[in-house]
Amino acid sequence: MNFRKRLWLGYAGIVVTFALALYGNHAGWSDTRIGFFTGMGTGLVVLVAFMHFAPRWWRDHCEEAYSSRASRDYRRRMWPAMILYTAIVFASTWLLKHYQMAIPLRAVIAVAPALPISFVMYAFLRYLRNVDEMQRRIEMEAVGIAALIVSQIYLAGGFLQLGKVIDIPSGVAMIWVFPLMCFSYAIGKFRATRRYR
Amino acid sequence: MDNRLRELREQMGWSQAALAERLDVSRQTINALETGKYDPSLPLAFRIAKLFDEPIESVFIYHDP
Repeated sequence: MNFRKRLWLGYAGIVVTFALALYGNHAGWSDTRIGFFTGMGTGLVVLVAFMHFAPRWWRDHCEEAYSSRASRDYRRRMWPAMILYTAIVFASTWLLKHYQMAIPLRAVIAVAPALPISFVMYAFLRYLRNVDEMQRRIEMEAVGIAALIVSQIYLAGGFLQLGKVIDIPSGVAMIWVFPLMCFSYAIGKFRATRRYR
Repeated sequence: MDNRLRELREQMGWSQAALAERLDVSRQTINALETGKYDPSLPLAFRIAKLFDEPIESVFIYHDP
């Protein structure tokens, strides 16, 4: 699938997810479900905006990277794990909300969504091993930049919280570590790739 | 570090993509090598030298900083 087709797929995704969120709002769906589709739609808006305004060299880089064997293998492992993650998140939150259960069982169900994410992390590790040496250097720089950005955000956030300037629930703060790492990794990868173009 | 990669590749009449395929790296890596933005690892440098049947020091030219 080329860049233009992926862009159109992104537009279609935005329309579908926001249409579902609006329909859900009208039909009286739960806030969690509406929030899920709104969140997916917002994420797609950010992604499509970036794809739309990305410089030519980045598009070329993506085209080549997407067609590499390492990238294909990564996507083949990553997508089923992400679909499984989505299903388990829904199932886990629904079960925890609707049933009383003993703490050990509650812990297993609550932590279950982390399992498919560990498959994604394993897929990424395999990707790192399979890419060529320059791409591996770019990826390692990107991961390093992401670690620094997230550490800085959480350090600053921790001081603000201790200073009682902000009051973010600990669960929310912990959940956001991984998405923030992914977002910061994208920034890091853009920056690192530009150095070698 | 300078290198004669572009010159050697053009002598063989290969595109960047063709050379990348022979060395099992991406075309972007070949481009970065040719423009001097990336210095290869020792194993890749040896593979390049072997492919062109040249001594490694004639492909990659090191300058004292």
